[in-house]
Amino acid sequence: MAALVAVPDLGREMVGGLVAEWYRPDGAVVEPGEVICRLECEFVSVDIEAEQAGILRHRKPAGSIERKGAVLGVIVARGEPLPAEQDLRSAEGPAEENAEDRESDHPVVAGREPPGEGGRAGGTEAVTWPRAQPGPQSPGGTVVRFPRPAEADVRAEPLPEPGGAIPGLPLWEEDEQLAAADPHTGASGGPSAGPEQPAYSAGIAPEVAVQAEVLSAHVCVSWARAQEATEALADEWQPEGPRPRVEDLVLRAIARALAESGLEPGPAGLVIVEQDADRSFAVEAPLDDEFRRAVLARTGGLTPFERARWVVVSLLPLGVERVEPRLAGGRLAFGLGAGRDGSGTITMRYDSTMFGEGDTGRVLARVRSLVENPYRLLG
Amino acid sequence: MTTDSAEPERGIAVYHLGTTSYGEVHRLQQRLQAARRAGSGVDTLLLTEHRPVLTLGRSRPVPSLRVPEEVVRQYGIDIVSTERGGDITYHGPGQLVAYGIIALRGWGLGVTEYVAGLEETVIGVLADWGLRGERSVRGRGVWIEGRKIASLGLNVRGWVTMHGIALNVDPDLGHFDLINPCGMSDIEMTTMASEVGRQISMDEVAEAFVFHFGRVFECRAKLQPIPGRENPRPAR
Repeated sequence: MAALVAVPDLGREMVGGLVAEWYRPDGAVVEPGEVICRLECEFVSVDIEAEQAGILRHRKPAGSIERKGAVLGVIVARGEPLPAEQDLRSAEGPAEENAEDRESDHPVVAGREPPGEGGRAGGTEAVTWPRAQPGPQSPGGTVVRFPRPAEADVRAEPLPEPGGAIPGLPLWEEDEQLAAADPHTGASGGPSAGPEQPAYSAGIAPEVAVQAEVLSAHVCVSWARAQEATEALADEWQPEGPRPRVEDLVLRAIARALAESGLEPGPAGLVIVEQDADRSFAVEAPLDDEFRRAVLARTGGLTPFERARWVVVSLLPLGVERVEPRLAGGRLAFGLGAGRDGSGTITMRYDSTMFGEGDTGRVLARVRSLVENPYRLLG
Repeated sequence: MTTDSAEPERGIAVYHLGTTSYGEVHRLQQRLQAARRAGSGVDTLLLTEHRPVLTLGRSRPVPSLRVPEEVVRQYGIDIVSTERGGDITYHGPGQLVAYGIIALRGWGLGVTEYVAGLEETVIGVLADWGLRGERSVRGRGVWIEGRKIASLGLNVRGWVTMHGIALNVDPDLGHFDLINPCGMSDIEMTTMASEVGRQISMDEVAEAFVFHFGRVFECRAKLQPIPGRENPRPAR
């Protein structure tokens, strides 16, 4: 039975909260009582726990600001389909609902329709807010039971599976098919191939590979300051310097965050998808002491793309808000998307054997902090 | 203590720890919160003064400093990451820090009501010294005519709080110059001593805090002896 992860009601004065960090990535297996997400509301940080075991699916990205009751994610059993979006929305209650008018602190499944919303499909249970006396806020607000899987089966439009590509953009599909056809490609010939490994690990590696899952996590960012810094740099470096792009800053931010988390970033690949063409670059040392040299390395095209051990795919020129790059034999890729209002997302797709619990959240939080304050990256 | 029927039923154990290092009290809070979440233990209020330390909140894990980090280290001040909300702050001698480890559900309180109650407690303490503390649109905490005198930051897990509020009684304000308090570069900090214009006893402020905490939250705030130390200070 699915359970919702929702923004708890922290009190009368609370308007909303920032989804500050997903400690567990999209698709992760969670245990009851495990902290899965942090919500921030002014000077208060609230750790939200899983109330049942299952697979966590994110619905709202880190960095988004959500109102009370908003459903941030769902915990489902393995193989269980996701609840329909319509039910998730009705669980959240009407958008303009006032805290004082709210009928209860937490939604529960009831056999009736939510107030003010009629005409639902027959036979489905409605998630609604029953009348209750005002009182203490209940942690039960974070998770509620959800309709039975059998009923959820007939509903359309589950949340996208982790790894689902942006429609119309089959990035690297060929590579992935190749990798699927030859299970050893990824381990031996792919960009992640490392130095020769000792014998004992030879047996472990395939076992780990079988257990490995491709997971995804994303964070909201504001591109405005990165853009501003890029333009300032371009002015400063003219006419003799290379022309920096926002993607250069992001590449450096990610490399810095990976290095800080103890991973050797290594050569990076950058794919910039524009209206008429895809362009790919590689940067041997994205953490080069001098930022200008790193940008020159990209524009100079001296490093072959095949050397890249991790890749950033940018759809910033297209105005696509979220990008789920595919892992084609590699183990780590980032997608950059931008909405219309200067905000966007950085999505991280990675092999589950690469990062421990909470690491991805920390990496992404650090990347966001660096992208939004890019002057720390210059040097 | 009387057995008056009007005595509030809700109780909280208060420990006045004296001067402590941040790390030891941080670990104590974590243990108390874990116990409270597991349904054991009692609601607890810890009062202490820390040795100089800068603490970081979750909202910005990178310190917002006005000086290079090495300078801070040269002062012998550690920078500690914590699980509370909010940005960087300074704790040091002369600052009364109050940490409540409270199962809010049992108190019928929302988190925002608890935060407002902590501010109300400090406003009550300030009033005892003839000071008019107030809330500000600039942010949570308590302010006196636009200067910040008390800062707060909380963590809530399983509806049990930890961390709390720090009131500047008479700390070295020079240490605040190392940082952008709460991440704000234009913030002016103040202390009770500088507002009143004379020295203020930390013990009296702590005593007043316990009194006003009990008044605001309608609870019996009872000072407990510290295990291993004799003669707890009498409650007001």
